[in-house]
Amino acid sequence: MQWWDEYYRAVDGGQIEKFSTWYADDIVSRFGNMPVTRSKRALVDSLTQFFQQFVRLDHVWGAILYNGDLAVGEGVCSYTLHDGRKIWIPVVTVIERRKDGLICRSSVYFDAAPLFTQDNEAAHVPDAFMFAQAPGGTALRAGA
Amino acid sequence: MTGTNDTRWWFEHFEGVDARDMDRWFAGLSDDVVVRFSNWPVIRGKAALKSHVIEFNKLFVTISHKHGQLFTDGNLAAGEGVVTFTMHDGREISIPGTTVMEHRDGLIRRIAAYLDFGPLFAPAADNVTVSEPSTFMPRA
Repeated sequence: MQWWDEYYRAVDGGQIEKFSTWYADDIVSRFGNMPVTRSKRALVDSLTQFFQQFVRLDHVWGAILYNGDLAVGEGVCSYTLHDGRKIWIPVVTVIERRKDGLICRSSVYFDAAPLFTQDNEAAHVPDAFMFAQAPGGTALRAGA
Repeated sequence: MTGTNDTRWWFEHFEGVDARDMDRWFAGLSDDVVVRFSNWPVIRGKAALKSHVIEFNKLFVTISHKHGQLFTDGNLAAGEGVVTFTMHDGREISIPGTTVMEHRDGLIRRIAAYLDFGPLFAPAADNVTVSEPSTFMPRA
């Protein structure tokens, strides 16, 4: 899953204009319970707003399953907030690519609430890392 | 990896959940099952899960799952879907999400559900809903 790793390296680089080159113009995207976006422009606008919540993000992936150009990854994302706090949130992402390699849909399933609270206890997700790595500490990659 | 691509266990699990028949769906779980529901603390063991489910079920009257894309390599499966809750005041709340489960030797060993349960806990007067929860479900 080289493309998955390359894409998320770009995402974790934090430069939206760079990683949005992966997106098809008509990409359909969902982030949690937020409204679905239906174009690259709308997604970039939404991400620009979302990225204002933190100064850095880093993904660690555990299981990744795929079937051709459709893949699902289970992991955890850490967000470093403007006040220096680091928050870990478990996440699953489903990504579909077109034949030309561009991403035509992205669905991110998570609960972003810890990013929006000042209460450290409420922001802490216990055992957030638990399923971010397969037993033995290595990522599991399986697919066809 | 070992295992088969027979995914009947996946659907039987959710049929039991939707029927709210704990005996039925708990029969498919290992005693040491490990469960994550979103950002909540991880639950370890069938007994702890049972207590949790009893409390969670008090929040709503019915629960039903609609299944979308299912990925599997046999022992590990991840399924995208929408879960709909009918609340005690009659409201229906649908939330999109993905569940990941591991299944070995005929039993489910771990369940991880990734979704935002926030709308279930919002005041009814706010009428919080998720727009287009079924966007990525197969068309009927």
